[in-house]
Amino acid sequence: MKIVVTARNGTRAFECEPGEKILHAGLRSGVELPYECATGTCGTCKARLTSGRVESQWPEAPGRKYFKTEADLLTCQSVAHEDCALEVGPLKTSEPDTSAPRVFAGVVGGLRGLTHDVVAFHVDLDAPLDFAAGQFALLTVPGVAGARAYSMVNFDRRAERLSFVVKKKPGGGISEWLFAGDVDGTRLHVVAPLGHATFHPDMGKHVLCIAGGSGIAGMMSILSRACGAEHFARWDGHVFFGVRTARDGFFLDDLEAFRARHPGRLAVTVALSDEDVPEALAAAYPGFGFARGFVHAVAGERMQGRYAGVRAWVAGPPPMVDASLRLLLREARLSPADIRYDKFS
Amino acid sequence: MGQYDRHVFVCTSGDTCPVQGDTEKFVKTLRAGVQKANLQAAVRVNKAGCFSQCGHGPMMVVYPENVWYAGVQESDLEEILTSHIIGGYPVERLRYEPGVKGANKIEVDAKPKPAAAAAASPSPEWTRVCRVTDVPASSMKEFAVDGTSVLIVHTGTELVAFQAMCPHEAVPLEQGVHDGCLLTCLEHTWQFDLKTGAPVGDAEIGLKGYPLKTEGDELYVALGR
Repeated sequence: MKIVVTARNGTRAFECEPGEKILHAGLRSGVELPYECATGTCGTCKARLTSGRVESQWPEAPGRKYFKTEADLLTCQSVAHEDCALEVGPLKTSEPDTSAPRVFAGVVGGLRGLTHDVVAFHVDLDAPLDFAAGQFALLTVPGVAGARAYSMVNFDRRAERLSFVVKKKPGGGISEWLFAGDVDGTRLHVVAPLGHATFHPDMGKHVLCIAGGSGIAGMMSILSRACGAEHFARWDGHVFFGVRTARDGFFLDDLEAFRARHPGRLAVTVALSDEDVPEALAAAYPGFGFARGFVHAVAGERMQGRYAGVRAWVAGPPPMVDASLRLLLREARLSPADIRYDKFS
Repeated sequence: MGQYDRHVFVCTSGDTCPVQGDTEKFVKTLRAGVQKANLQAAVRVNKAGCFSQCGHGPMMVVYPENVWYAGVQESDLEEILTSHIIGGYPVERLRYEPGVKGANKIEVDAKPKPAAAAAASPSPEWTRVCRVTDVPASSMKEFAVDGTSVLIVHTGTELVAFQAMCPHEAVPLEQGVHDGCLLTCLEHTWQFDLKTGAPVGDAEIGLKGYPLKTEGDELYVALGR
């Protein structure tokens, strides 16, 4: 089926397969349709149907709150039933390191617990994939309704393996499935790479990462990319990682490995929201900063007067992301172009 | 065929364009760029009077394409220069296409009008909003005034009033943040200049502003029309 999209900055056409989401078909064809979450929540991919017939595969998607007319739809949730014409938001330009998203077949492996409620696993792909640090993949597991978005933890060129972390969430389809146990060897569908919260060393800026819980996933990819390019030989890095208590921390050894490569310029601070910092934890990571408090508040205190030339990445639960955005816009006075964020939802 | 391959008109003397940006400087920057490209014989940049599109500024028009640009920022000039004036490819993202012909002014001046100016316009209807102290320094609050939702912003030095909803997705701007100069809607980080309501960055549409006045401890807004 032929889809014609009209935006303020141009008109493009692409082919869409039966059952394929319009967003995926466009991106796959190199048409940079607007989107953020790709999972029906943020509303960024809202479009208006001017001719043809589409069907939403998730009519109750939260992103529908932005609809103004009956003809509005989310391209990330909609499939076409015939040739269609759509009005869409401004088309984007593609970013470095990344490639057009495609559908891969993957096999789950390496499932292991990181904490009492966070697991890590990887997915081996049937073809190599180039992605940008900070991007995510949509995973669909047979028998579990809906796709879930997870940020890649690793960074590799022509990656054949993607690493992820997932937090246990009751009622969270894939999360529950992972925690139910024996999933190694399971086949699943992967749509990747997606997302604009990306890092590339050519930007020439100091790096500020504020992560809550499993939001650290994408930051690990960014730090991997940055360290690989010796970014912190010339630029500062500030990593703030917030968890509830000491037993909720993970990836601390990996963060220490990054920090130890550039001890003068890369600083890692762990914020515990629900308990005082245990002495044993501080003693185990003498190179880290530790503080009790919400991660955005700790970042706000320690970053005061150090925002010049900074670009920030934020990921975590929505209240933490919103609080961080307030900090970065109001106190830090960063331009939205220098704030990249992923809100879990 | 005219005397120039490309003829640029920058509004420098309307009511709002020169307030919404340093349009005299725009002209200088564009002229310098044309000179640098050695195109003085082919391109002319003129200062112009009002295009009757007040509130959408700073505006400029480029002929022979008859392309209108709205909300031009200093940071956009390089792109307009290289892509369009020199390259011939209009900058689509800045194009002004309001969907109506002819004059299309919107009210953007949110500052309280001096008494003389207020008297000159046919007696604005002032409606009480709140007590001046209800909006503390550097905060903002939404009020329902005669069925219209109005956002009162305390910039730190003065009170200004705008439409309460983000023109993007009708999200209450009250839930956003401001730093006294810029108001940001947190939903999709559209930003607006608190002096003029003009769109900044990704934002494509500006905010409607309302005149305010204080009488004693009370704040009044003129919703107009």
